[in-house]
Amino acid sequence: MNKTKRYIFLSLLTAAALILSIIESMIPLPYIAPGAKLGLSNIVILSAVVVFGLRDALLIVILRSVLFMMIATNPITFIYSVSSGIVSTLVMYLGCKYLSSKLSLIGISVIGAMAHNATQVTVAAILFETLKLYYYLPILSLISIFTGCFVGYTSILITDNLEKTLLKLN
Amino acid sequence: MKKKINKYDIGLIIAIVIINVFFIWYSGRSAVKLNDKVAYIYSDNQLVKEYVLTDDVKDEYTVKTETGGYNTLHIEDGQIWIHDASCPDKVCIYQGKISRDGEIIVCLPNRMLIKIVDYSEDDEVDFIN
Repeated sequence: MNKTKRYIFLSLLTAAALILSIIESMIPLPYIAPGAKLGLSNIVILSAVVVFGLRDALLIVILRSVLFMMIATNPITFIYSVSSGIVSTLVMYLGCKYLSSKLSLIGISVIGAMAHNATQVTVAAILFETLKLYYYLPILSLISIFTGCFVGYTSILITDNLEKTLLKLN
Repeated sequence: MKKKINKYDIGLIIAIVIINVFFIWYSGRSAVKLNDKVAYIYSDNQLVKEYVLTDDVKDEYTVKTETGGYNTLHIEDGQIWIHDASCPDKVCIYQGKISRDGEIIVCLPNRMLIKIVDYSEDDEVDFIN
């Protein structure tokens, strides 16, 4: 794939991740624990990790967070989303590299969701200077198993189609 | 890359569920919950003991000082009080039973302080969603 096509694909994926983030912020959810959300944009990021690799996925994560901050949220939320996004992308990349003989994308997505939660709670604990926030981590992890399974299953479907499309382009 | 969910995925998910349920159960019975009432006991400006004040906690504890003084506290029914002390004036005993947020018992001769913090009343953590 030449450079221009790659850039076009990356910007499309960034736009998709951004739109999913915005839609997600509009969906009302029952209040279970602070910070619990669907993580729809992880579908795009996990697919990018599989199809394009770590560097491009990190680029999408950072661009998504910056744009989402400018459109919908504030710099504090940006700190949470960019740090947990980067860590979960790294973890999902390592999962794809070393565990893909055993786990499907569903398992990798669940691991990524765990890393996302752990980072988010850690950042919050640093910002609020209280370790008590770790009390929320098990609850958040249990919720994120469901969303992680959903994200993983969707990513399986997307990566299938995306790889076929990319083959046609070449 | 595997295309379908397999036994390793299910094993991973079950393991994570078990670990998290264990942590929820563990934090529910031992750690300080966000809606708990906690008594902190200081001796000579240092935290020596903390009690989560629930109705089923019943205990006795003696705070000793380096100079040989002591205060014996009693915890029962979510209340904490001092029923014996080495100091001459017994002011700490006359301060009675405390159970509410912000209440304190002080013993000046033995440099001992008990204070109660109720985490269900003050929202010290604000979240931005």
